[in-house]
Amino acid sequence: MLFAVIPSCNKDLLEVTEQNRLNPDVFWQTADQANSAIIGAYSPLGNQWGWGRMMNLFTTYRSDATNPIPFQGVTTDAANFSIEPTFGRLQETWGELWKTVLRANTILVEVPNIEDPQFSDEQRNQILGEAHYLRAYQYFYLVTLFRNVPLITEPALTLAEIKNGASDPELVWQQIISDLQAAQASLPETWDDANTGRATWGAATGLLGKTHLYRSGLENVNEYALAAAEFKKIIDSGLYQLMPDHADNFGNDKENNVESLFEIQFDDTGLSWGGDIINDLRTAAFEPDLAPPGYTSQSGLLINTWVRDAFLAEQTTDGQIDPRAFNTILWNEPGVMVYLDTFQEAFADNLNAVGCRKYLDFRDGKEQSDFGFAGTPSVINRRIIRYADILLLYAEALNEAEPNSSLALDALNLVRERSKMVPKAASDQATLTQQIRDERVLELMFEGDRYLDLLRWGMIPDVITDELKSNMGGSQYRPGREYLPIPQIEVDTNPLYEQNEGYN
Amino acid sequence: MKKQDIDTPSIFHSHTNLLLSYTLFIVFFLVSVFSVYAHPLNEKVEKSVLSKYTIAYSKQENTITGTVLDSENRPLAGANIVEKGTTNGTQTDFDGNFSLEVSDLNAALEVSYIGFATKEVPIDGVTSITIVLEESAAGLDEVVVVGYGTQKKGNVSGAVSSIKGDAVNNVVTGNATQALVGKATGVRVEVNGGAPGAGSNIIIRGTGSLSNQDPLYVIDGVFSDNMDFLNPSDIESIEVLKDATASIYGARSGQGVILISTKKGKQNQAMRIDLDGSWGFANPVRQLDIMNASDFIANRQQAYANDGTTPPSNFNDFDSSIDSDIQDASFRSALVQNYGLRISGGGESSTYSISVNRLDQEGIVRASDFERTSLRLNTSAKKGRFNFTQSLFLAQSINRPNIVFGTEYGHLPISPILDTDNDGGYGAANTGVAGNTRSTNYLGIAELTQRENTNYNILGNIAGEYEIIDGLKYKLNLSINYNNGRNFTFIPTYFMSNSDVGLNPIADLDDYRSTFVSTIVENLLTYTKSFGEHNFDLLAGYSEQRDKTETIGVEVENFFSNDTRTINAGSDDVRRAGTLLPRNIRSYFGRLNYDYSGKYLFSASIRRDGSSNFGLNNRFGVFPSVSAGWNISQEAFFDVDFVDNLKIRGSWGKLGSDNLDPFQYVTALNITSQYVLGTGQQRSSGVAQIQFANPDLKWEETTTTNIGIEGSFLSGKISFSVDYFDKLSEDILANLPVNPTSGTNVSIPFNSATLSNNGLEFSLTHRNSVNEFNYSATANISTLNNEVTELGEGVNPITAGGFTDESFNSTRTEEGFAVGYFYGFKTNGVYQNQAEIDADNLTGRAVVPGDLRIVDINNDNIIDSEDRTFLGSPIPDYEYSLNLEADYKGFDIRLFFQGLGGNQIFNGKLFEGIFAQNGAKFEIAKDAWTPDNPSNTIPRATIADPAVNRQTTDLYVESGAYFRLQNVALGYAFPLDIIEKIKLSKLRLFINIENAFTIDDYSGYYPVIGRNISRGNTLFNRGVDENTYPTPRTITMGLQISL
Repeated sequence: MLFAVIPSCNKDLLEVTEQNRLNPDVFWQTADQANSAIIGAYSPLGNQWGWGRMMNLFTTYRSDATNPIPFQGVTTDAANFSIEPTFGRLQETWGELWKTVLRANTILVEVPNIEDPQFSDEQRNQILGEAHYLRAYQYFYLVTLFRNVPLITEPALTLAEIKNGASDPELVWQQIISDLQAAQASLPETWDDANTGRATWGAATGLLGKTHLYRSGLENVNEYALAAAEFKKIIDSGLYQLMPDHADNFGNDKENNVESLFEIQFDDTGLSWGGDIINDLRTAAFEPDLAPPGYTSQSGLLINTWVRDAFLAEQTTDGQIDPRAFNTILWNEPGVMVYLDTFQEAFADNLNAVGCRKYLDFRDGKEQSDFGFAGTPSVINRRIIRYADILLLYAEALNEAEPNSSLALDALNLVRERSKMVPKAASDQATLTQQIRDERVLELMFEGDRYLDLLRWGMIPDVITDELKSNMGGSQYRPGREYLPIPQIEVDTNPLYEQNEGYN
Repeated sequence: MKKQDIDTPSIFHSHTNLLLSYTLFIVFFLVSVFSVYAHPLNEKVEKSVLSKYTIAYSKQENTITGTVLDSENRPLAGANIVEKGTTNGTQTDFDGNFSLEVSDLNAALEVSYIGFATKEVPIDGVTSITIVLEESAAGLDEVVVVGYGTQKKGNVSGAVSSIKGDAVNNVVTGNATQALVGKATGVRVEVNGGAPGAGSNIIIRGTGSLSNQDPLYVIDGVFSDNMDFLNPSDIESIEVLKDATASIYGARSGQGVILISTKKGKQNQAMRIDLDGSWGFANPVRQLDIMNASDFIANRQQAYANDGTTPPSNFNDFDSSIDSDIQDASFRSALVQNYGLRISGGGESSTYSISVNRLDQEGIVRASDFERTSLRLNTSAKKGRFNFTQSLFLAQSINRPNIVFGTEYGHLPISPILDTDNDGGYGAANTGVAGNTRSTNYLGIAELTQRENTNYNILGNIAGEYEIIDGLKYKLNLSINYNNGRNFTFIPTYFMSNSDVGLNPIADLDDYRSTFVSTIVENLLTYTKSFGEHNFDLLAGYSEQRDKTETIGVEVENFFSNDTRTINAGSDDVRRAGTLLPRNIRSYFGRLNYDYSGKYLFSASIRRDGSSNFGLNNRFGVFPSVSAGWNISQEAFFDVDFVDNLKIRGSWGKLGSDNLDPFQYVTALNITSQYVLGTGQQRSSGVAQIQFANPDLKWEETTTTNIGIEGSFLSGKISFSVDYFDKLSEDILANLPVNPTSGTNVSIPFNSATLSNNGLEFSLTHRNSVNEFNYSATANISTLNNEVTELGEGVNPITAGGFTDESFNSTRTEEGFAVGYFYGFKTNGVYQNQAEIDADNLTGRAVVPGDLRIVDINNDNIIDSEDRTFLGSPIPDYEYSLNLEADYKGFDIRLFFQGLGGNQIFNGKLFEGIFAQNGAKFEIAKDAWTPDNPSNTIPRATIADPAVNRQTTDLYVESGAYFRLQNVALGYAFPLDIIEKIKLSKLRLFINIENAFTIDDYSGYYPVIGRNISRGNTLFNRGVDENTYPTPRTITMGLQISL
């Protein structure tokens, strides 16, 4: 009964099939797959390590306007320039920026080869255009925030190929320009309702203009005319216009409106920090980082008083406070609310304090800011480029390219006009430059531009003072620290890399 | 496929193979059960064992009766008597008497008893005989279980620790793994605190891997990765294969092998019924000194004053009459109960043992308890040249852990613990009150949350053996290991405070289940033969193992009522998960044991394993070993009277670890890289490559060398063993971070590291009897040096050991240091004044008087991350234990002392106590530096903490050394002549105290930390006390009854 149990030599025993995850060999076959791949490339933009939260720290928090109260080293190190290469939030954000680069690189190699009769040339070109746009978009922030980054345009096929040293920033800029030109050529002007939020011709053109303008500031080249030309394309396209009310740009009800060239979309169904996991948090979780003390689970953000003073320095044509002040800051003014409380209640101990208002979500009787695990998280989309910004950038570029051009002044006044501000009169180039710079504060503060504006204007070392960062014991700025450190994990795992100046 | 079928003439093919395994399993099971129950127990034998008068009644022509005594003329109960050369045998009764029908009155009897030298007694025609056994020298004739067989202890040339079942049978914790603490040299048990049902990890001879692999457990031939689910009182013996002897288990031997034999029925033994029950209480060993409400407020105000900032406007929004103590409210005196029943016995050709056990254990922290019910059935039957054995174990355990006790933001003394106005009925402080950022109530969360981890285990094994010719046996062993686990969590809605950790507006249910099935088909051929003094023992084997893990998990939320707690009752789907992870292993193995006259010992083995966890590049591994021994005392020239035995032995071998999840060598795409799109703002599914794969993954390989000497003196009164070992573990898999510019930031495994472990192990036993006073003393000492000798090319140190929700870490793993050593800043007191700060002239920190004085290790006048350094190690340099046992006229006592030293504990609880953002909570924080209180240990109170005093420094590092009386057991067994009148053969009362006393310098709850499982049960979180469950002192009483 038992004999004859001969040792089995079943050859299949050690062959098991992975059924939990997708094998790349069976992917890249259909139009639908190409579409899901480009969604995957957008994915890092909107999660908590991207614009959902951390990018806010590396842009808005670092400017001369913000003076956060220290919170556990989680959010404030970026703000007072004491950030260490080992800082966890930095490593996470760095990783997210590069994820899009790999995904876009893979799409640009694989999607042209997909043989699917259902895959129209139009759709294929749109996806390739999006890949070019997204790669340029992330490189734009990589080179402006970190400066010394490798230029990688091909997906690594083996582990040996993943390590690359930093490239000359000029090569990175040239790649951004050529990617955006490619994107410009193949992206649609608009998307249908189901696809709102994807990159458009306007998004690519606006970023291309910004790229020329930033290069002119950062790289000591004169590309103002190139920048102005791109902005003019947008103005001339007729696709965009200013919303009637400045406030329309910071609420949940008028998202993806005619003023918006590109914005990060949020929902409120998230469960976990991080990206690439199912139902990761994709709320506007930077809200608690912007909210004032007592209305956030963080320690709270205070705004330097010069911002308030800038708003109060001028009045509207009918003698009122600039309406944009009420959308931008919290200060001791009748009618200013902090969620459900009056300003006087909220800041009883320090009525001279100023808080941030922009992107706070006061709807539905919310009592305070929320990340999204509990309570009511903000889902207000983050505007990356809007038409008012384009007008001001156009004015700035044109004023450099063609000093005393009346078109520059017109663009500035178009923005002011919406908020019933007295139009600026013609003056000289330097005055107009200053007026445009001041206007950017009033129009765009806390939207992520101020720090990078200061950087490209070369003003960081002079502007960032101990007083402006007083809540954190002063500024820890040292030469070189206008750029972020290369995260330690990169330096450690990639021997070809060197740390940025100012962090050794 | 067809071609393969022709090429491989085999009756085992994929599906049919599995089906056949199951069928054979069931057939074996039925045959053996049937053989036990259908074969009526031999009446004669049953009675002969039970009562004397039946001996006369049944006396026949060839029946031998007799008595077995020890050298002190005390009867030996349970000694084995076998007619030499046959399987005919019996056992002595409680008075040492036996009766055996023999085939030939000129035959000889072999009489054996554990701990005594086996004796061969010629019958020489007499029918009544008295046999005196001599205590053997260190039990040389005892049989030791080694891989796939047994060996006489005297012939073993490797390092094998044997632990008798009685050392683990009656442990209060009910956990067999934890019962091994201190029991064997070189075996470290890391117990993760004192929670009922707490996990533990065994590390044999030091950490030889950077992954989490435990030793291989082989339970009656069934492979398992732990033995927590066992009923400790089922265990007959435990053997730990510490060196190259483990090599016969090839790819799974890398961390050592633990062989567990469970209790079987004895041949020719009347049915025996053993009942035991115990009952007692566990209590905290000590409590922490927590600040009261007014001190807490004073400390907060001091912090605001120091920071020069204004407290929030709602700072004083609390009831000043409240002074609550969450710690006190969380502790309780916890009931522990354990009940067991065993029925065992055997006839001429069959044995049986059936046991049931029930353990009920409350935790000393509220909202934690554990229960386990188990059943074991072991039977054997034989007929002619066939021999069948079977074992079946079923267990259900339910663990309801309290995982939030002692966590950060737990509770402030100013907030009420109970607050009936709140949803859920518990209270916590609102954000901003007393300046706290976050506050919750961990007693409330624990009590409100339903957390239930249920496990069902089935271990089954059936073996049929056929002796083809004398000495040559073929054995087919089929085993199954089945586990069904379920982790159920329901978090109801509650409100304690408006802090984001203090409320749960939406109820959530998470139900995660996993099924693990592992079957092994093992074919063994053994051949035992002697030519004169040359003794050979050969083993050849082939096995196929099929493992499959399937998981399914669902999370739903938004319940209309907190009382409806099923998946169907949740309105919104949140998450679902399901995976299938197979692993198949094919193994070929062989071993030769040879000895010449018991004098010269030699053993060699080899195993070749192939695993589906590896790609084609490196699928198979080969693991050889050799060992040799010399029993010098048996040489003619060795003539030392007081030496009974002296053996020198050595071994060398390679061990492997397939320390890896399936499919790690395959590149795969992620399908959950989502983005929100459209005017409706819906999630769209995105596909992306989120990690690279390493196609070259292969086995971890450990080369182990052992040299030992053992012996016994003075007729077994003193025995000892000394071992030196050296282990080099190479190609160690480490999950290493990939540079993020690759576009991925998921760590992937590489065979990169090399670890070295070496140490000395001493064991010394003295046993003696004086009149009726028997005693023994065993001392064990083990030392260990653990070092990472290489991490791999371009690999950065592994940082881990989080101890707070802030991003600070405490451990580091790098070349030249022990795995997971404590790494941070050294301090040199507290800056007392500005002059001291100026004198140090250091930049990098914004310090003021009262801040910690951090040492500029690299002397560059900047305090930065480069100044972090070695602060201690969680790995003890040495461990020791002392076991004292004595009995006298029915009284017995066992004292088990255990200790260790040379290690540190990272007391992360001090973060909560001194630095937490929602307020310092320990009494010691009252000693914070002020100009009037020039403390040199506790820095100034501050919330902003611009000098970052709270970061990882030596302030948290404390000595982990301790010495404790781990166990005291006192018992009294009533005399036989009394209890026989009430038809009992045993009645013993006992009292058992666990952790009777502990001597240590640790300021936390208890110096048994294990791993900080709240940050992941990994090697790199060892010795980090963030919220380790306190180890209790437990006192139980009980009784044992045998019928």
